[in-house]
Amino acid sequence: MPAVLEIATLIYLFLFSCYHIITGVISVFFPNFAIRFYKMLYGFHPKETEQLKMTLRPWGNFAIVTGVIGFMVLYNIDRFFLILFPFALLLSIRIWYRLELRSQLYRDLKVTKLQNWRMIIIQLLGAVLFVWFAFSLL
Amino acid sequence: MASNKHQSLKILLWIVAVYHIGLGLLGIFAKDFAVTLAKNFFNFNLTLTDQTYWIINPLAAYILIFGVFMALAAKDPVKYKNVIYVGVVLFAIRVLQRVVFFVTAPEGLVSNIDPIRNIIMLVVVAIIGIAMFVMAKKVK
Repeated sequence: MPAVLEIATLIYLFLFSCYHIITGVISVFFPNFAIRFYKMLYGFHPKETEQLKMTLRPWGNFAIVTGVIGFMVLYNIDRFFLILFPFALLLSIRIWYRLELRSQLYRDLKVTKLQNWRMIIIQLLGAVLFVWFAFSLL
Repeated sequence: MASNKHQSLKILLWIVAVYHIGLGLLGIFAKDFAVTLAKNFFNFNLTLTDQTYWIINPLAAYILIFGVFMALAAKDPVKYKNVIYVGVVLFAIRVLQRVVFFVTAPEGLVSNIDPIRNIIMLVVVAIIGIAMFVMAKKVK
């Protein structure tokens, strides 16, 4: 794998792990702030927030776990590189439902097409880098 | 001999993995069923609106991926011992959150299933977490 792509993968993995820990912590402990944060980050404008806050807590737990495991991979990538495949699967699922349910996303959560495609491209980049990197170590 | 060494831990991890992968797949592909799942597994009265229909997706995706992490750990508990510990921490947080949820959640959001059943589920989650921790500690 070219060095520049290797560095790009490691930077992506670092940001991916930070993102999950930060969003996980705010979702679990500061759900009101989390909703404002997601409005800013994703452009979500939820109509109802009580159920959303209750859903954010269990999601936040799993996000923290994902972030911590991300740092474990980063710390010893030769040992844990296989975990990059589930990370790529996670990003692929997120891309899939952003595409599959895009009309709902635009209509019900008021996300713009630009905001949706921006996230899809970021996630696609990560999925490709993770799979490429993991295959290069197989 | 080595492959049989951590058999109980592997079986437990496979159960945890299959449970989470199944729950994640149902959340992604059978959202109508998600209301029942939320009620029975999270003691949470979920109303399936257009908005919640969307919001279930990320939660289900992360539940599924956690199942995949546990499957990797079940394949090789020695290599993925730290992943098992992360799973144990998740179980501990879930037990604590479930208790906090009972106390703090708005009445309408708490599902009305039998409180004894809730306590049993809480105990089961705690026992699985403790068993994972104890067995993982013996892994060398």
